[in-house]
Amino acid sequence: MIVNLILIFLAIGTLVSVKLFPESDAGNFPTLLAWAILILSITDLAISIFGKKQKTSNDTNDDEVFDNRSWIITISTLVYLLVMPYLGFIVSSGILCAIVLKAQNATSLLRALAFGFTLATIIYFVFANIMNIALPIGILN
Amino acid sequence: MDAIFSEIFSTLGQWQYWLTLIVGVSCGLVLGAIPGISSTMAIALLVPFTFGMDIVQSSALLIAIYFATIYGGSIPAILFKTPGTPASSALIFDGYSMMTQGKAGRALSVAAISMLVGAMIGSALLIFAAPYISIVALKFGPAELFAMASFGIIVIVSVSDNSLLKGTLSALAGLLISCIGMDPMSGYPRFIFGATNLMEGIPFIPVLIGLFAISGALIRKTSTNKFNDVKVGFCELPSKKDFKKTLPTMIKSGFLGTFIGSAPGAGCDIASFVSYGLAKHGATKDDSFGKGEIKGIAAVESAKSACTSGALIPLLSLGIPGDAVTAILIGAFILHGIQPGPLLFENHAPLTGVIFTTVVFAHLLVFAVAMLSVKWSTLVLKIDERFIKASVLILAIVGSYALRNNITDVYIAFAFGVIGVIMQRGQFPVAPFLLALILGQMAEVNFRRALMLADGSFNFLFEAPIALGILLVAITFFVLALVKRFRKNS
Repeated sequence: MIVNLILIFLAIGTLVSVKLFPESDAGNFPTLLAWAILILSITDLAISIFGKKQKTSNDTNDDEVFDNRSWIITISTLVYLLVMPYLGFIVSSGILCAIVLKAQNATSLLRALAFGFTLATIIYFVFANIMNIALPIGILN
Repeated sequence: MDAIFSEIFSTLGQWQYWLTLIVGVSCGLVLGAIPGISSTMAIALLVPFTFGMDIVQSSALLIAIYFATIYGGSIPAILFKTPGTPASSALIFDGYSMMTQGKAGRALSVAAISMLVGAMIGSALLIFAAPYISIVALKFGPAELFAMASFGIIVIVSVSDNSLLKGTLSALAGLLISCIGMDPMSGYPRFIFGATNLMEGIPFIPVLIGLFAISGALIRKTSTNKFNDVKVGFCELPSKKDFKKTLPTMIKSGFLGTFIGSAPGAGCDIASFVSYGLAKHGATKDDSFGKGEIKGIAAVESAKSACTSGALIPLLSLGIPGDAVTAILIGAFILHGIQPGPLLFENHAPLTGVIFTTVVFAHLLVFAVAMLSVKWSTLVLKIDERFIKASVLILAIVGSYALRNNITDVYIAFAFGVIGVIMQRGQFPVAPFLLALILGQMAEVNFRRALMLADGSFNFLFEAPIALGILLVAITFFVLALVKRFRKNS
């Protein structure tokens, strides 16, 4: 149901935005798609509200849950992305890795930090030195 | 003819040639297995190393990297539900399911065998039928390319497990997201709201990483995989029964993959999804697609490896690069003073022979390394899953960043990671969304071009019999899926 609501919002947003386009056919394809999404989302929403409940899922595994630990990982990742340009890749990734491990009760904090920083350092050097991809260095500069 | 064979045998006798192939295959497998490093990027990274090489070694290195990266992407897709390349995304449905059932070794070995069968079909067609396939491929104009993109999307929607409506919605959302960025026809920036980083559109590799790798890291699994109970041999071969069951699928997908690969503009992503969709459509009662069906792995792997050989058909016979990878390859040829095209076979016949030989041996080497690495790849699963999850999350973030050295791509990957979680919880299939996002621009641009060429008339479809045929087949698949679903429900 949440997805349907998001899609309806997306479709309405598209239809409003397209109105601001200058006179060209750049908006035709998105308009067509937005109307299709709007109609089908409302249909799906109606089915999920009034229709019979069906369980034919293959995509959603029953052993996969989004619980408090998932929330911790999600919020930590979001914070990580915001601070990475300032703290640098090694420091922020090491901390994120440790948080993810601790959130899953994988190991002690010290071992989690050690694993996180080792992994981040290896990845940094592989990408920076072998592949020539400069990752943010941040406070270690 | 003697000169061709003499050149081939002379090349095969050089240790430098073999070393180049081995280095190319090894680098390709490793790079392909890293999420975010596509075959295009891997080749672009290693092109500077070919500047000092002769054309034989240079083409051997680049071709080996190309083939190996395309296969390399399958390993993390099967083991960690994290496709290394977009073409490997379709492997998640059955490959990862097999891994969770403790059959990772079997899944990887079936993938390697299918890769070889598809590659050999593709190579045979490249060597013996390239000029004929090129003639058909050249007839692919905007209408046909639009039909091909629509075909890929419709086929993958029609095999959506949950509901066709949700699958269709997912594909439409993917198409809509593909509209973000500069309009390819008029240049008008659409839906970017001042974010100049989005001018080029939403890059699909961060989306792929987000939907599969990051969403997988955000969701907690209550069960652990069963791999620890299974022993894998040094080089595990699929059973005779597995081989017999999957061979027809491998052959069909091999031909399909070669043909799709030979069409300029259609890449291995579409080949693998279409092949998977068709294999699922033809499923018997005994097949369990989406739950660890080896035919699903065979279809995807055979199609995408055949596609790599198919992509070389327009490149070598017409001098037309079909995708970004072959565009880099053509650049490497030109750098060495060789102009691919119809005259290549006439002016550089021995070199053409060597390239064909390289195509065959590179595939064989990828297969050998893939089979030998089954045990080592699956050994990774002995590591605590929670450590793997943390490592995959970090690697996924780096992979997104590495694409353009741009933090925006990491934000996109994270956003789509969250979207992936929401979609999974809402039972919306992610495959149609991803494929629609990849093919969206191809569909829109070619649709509008075809309309322009037909002076705004929708009759262009009736004037292009190949396009009409492709669309009719796609609609038939959709209707059949609808009827099947209706019968099942009633």
